[in-house]
Amino acid sequence: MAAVPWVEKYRPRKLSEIVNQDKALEQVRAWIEAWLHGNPPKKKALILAGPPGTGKTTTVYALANEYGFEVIELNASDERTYEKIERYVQAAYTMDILGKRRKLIFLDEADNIESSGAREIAKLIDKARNPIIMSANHYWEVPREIRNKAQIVEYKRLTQRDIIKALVRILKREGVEVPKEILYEIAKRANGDLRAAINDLQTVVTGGVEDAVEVLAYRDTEKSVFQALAQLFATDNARRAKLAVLGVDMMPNELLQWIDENVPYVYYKPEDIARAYEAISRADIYLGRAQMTGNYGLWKYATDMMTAGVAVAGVKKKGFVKIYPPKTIKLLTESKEERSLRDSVIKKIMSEMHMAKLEAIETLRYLRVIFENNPDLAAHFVVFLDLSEKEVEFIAGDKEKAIKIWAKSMNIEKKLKREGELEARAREAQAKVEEVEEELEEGEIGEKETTGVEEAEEEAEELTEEELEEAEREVEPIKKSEKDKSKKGKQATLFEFLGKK
Amino acid sequence: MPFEVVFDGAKDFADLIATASNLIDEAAFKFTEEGISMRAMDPSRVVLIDLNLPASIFSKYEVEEEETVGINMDHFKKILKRGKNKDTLILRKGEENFLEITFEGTAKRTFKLPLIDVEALELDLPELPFTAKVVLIGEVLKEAVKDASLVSDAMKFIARENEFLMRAEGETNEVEIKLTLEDEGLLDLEVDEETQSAYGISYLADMIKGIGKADEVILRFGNEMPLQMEYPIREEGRLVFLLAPRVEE
Repeated sequence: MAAVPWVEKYRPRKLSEIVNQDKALEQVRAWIEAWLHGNPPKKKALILAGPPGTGKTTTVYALANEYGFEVIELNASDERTYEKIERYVQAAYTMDILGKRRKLIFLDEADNIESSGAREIAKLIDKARNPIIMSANHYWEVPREIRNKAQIVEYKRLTQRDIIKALVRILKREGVEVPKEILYEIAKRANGDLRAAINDLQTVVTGGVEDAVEVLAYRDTEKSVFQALAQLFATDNARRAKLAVLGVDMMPNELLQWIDENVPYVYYKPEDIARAYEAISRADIYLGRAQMTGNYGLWKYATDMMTAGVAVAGVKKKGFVKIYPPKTIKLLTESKEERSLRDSVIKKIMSEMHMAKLEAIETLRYLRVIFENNPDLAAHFVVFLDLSEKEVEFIAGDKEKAIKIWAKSMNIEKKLKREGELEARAREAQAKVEEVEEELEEGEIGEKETTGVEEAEEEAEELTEEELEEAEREVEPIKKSEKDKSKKGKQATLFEFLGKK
Repeated sequence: MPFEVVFDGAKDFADLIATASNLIDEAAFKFTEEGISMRAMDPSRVVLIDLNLPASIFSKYEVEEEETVGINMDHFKKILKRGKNKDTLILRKGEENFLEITFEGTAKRTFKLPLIDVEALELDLPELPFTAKVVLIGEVLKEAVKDASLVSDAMKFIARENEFLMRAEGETNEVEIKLTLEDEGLLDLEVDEETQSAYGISYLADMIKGIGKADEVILRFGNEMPLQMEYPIREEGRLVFLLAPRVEE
């Protein structure tokens, strides 16, 4: 299936179609019209500055289209030495005289221009007879000499609404429908980058909506791996294949899994697939040897095999290739919730029951038996360990049982709370007693009241008011913290003193 | 509306702002003919900061019209940190909404800091019935707070007729710093009645960061009352903190 990237297919041809950058476009128009009216603007170059995917490149091409310019683009991968740029600028100038279409010079990623050539480029801007437009993600990283010669036009980061609007427009023209949640998800992840959003949308639409969430989940972190693999599978050139994975932040063994996963989607002849897997298996052997001997110099050969080796394996599908994340990673992600539940339960056992990890893991097994067979006892554990509903379900291994145990534990909790309230009341009574005692040094009243609260008195003595409030919620942990809290006192705020004069 | 003020010794000014910025994120500085002032409360409402820099401590002070500028303290602090001790600091504002911060030393370096909207704290300093006044040198207070932070998160100030104690009690350890007028560190002590009050160490630590070791620090407090800590800046200016106490229940 050959497919044109949607980013190109739906790139706006007119300035008015660019999403939500009216202010920037107004400046660009004014600037280019000054050129056309025969009096070049004071600043002969323009820097379009803004985050990726906000329409900078699109602006240049739409502008050229509307005003009849031919764009001469120098992008980052070209050698941007002074000589080369000069040649372009000169060429543009002469062709202009020959009466052909006017040229517009476009320097992409001006923030990557080496500062050594900056002064010369600045000079060229001075001499230029043609409009020069530069784009940069980070305005301040453009060499100062160039900045001084150029007028800045700021592109703002697109909002999620802008992105959704643009995506909906594309879907309409494609005649496809995608659930709203997925559109929102794409827009959210794109982080203001419309190009990334459109690429994601195409991935989701061609790959099927079912595993959209899974594919999108990798976008943030694995953006470069998708790009790298797309490049890798687009070339038969060994050198280019090796270069493709350069700069992917991934260990070779993980990268191997990604390549391994995608080989059958890229090659269609069985013998080609076999050749590709032959290369992968060779890479795997190198990786194993490297691991075993500690000689990580072998990684180099592993990488060569899995990239160049795979790339030259045969005839690949053409056009847009969808890249799938490896299933092993997906499986681990799916069991992640369960693993994290297990970990949190074990942690609670370790801290509440004072156990080492191995012991706690064994105890978890006993708990499992208890939770399966004795819900009453289990409920006490729930309260003691302060387990969450999900954790209970994890231990019980059964939803119904879990609900039963949970309900029982709530009852226990309530009972404890009542006891807490009792303590609170006891303290109030105690306070009253003290008052009375002060007034009447001796007396039956005092004694009578004291007997009523005797049981709780001991604890109530040290409790502060604030702690009693807490006691209503939790009884257990309080006893521990009681002592040190009362010693330190409560932090007052200044408002308590501002009234006093 | 434009103004321009010049302060010799960029580092001193940086210390001043660094101290305040530990406690507050943004502040409204009021530039008047008399000088610069700033009053703010930290977000937890435990500390009040009151800064007063009279025009006389600046080597050049040109403020035609009263103006209040809102500043992000963190950014301001980071910029001021770039100043060297012998640099001259120039704060300037033109018609635009920027504060220009210039360091003049071996080169002239100018930062532009965008101003923000900050509501000035409309609040008079409360007159509190303090019962103790202690004047000590910065070093003593700095060391005492460091000592106390080893054992606890609060420390108690106790002023008696002829001694001043700072005490912290932790779970197991205790520390006591004792000063009488015979000690070099204590410069003055005026006690109306025996006074005790406890304060949070984390706040104290933030408050004393910018104090010079040799600076005179004036403490005023009352029983379970806020602590007022004051230290002079170039003799005529002053930075005052008001810290709410930890109260026993």
